[in-house]
Amino acid sequence: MTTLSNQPLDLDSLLAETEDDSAGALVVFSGTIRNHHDNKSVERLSYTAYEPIAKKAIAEIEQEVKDIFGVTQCRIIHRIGDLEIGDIAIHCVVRSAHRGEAFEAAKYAIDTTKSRVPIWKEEHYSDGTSVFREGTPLKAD
Amino acid sequence: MQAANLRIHCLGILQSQTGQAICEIDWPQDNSIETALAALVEVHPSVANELPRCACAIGDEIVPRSYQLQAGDELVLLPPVGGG
Repeated sequence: MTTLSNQPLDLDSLLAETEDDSAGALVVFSGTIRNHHDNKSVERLSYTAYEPIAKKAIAEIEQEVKDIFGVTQCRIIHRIGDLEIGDIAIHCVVRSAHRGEAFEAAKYAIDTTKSRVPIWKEEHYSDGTSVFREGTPLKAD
Repeated sequence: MQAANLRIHCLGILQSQTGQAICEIDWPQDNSIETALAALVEVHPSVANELPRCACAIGDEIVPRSYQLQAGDELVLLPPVGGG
């Protein structure tokens, strides 16, 4: 299963991969590149990752989401490389029997991915400067 | 006898600060990560403020700073993360 990609993300393949006749709810969170941050005009973002741990962490989060919320499907895919405004950086797909746990699980999936997966984003501004966005320190245990 | 150098992978903002994806330092005589990080700061003082917030990894495992480096290890420094 692909969890990191340097190519445009394909939601249709994730939806096909997670097809589940027992699920009455499908929640998709897609993170897109916006054109501003802290009153600065953003031109593009560069995502980098430490792939050996990032892939493992995403797989762990997918399983964790299913275990915690009892949802039947959870898939997460994150793009790396240079992204333009409007490009999709991440898809989180959750399917479950009912909508309540699907919404909660999808929020947990994106929040946890942002705080536990070694991925970094550098924002490139219209004035020619760039900044790595502040992140969450990883823990050793 | 340990290899002469320790390769340190600098990711995210650390790569920007050092200008290198991989820095090499003398292998720390006490095999400690702390000694390795102190040596890195001597070569690249710009990373000093960031290092306390970085996690350390060997391969696909995050390790505590008390980890004793072993022959063949390459140290990976992971700054605070923030994808999505």
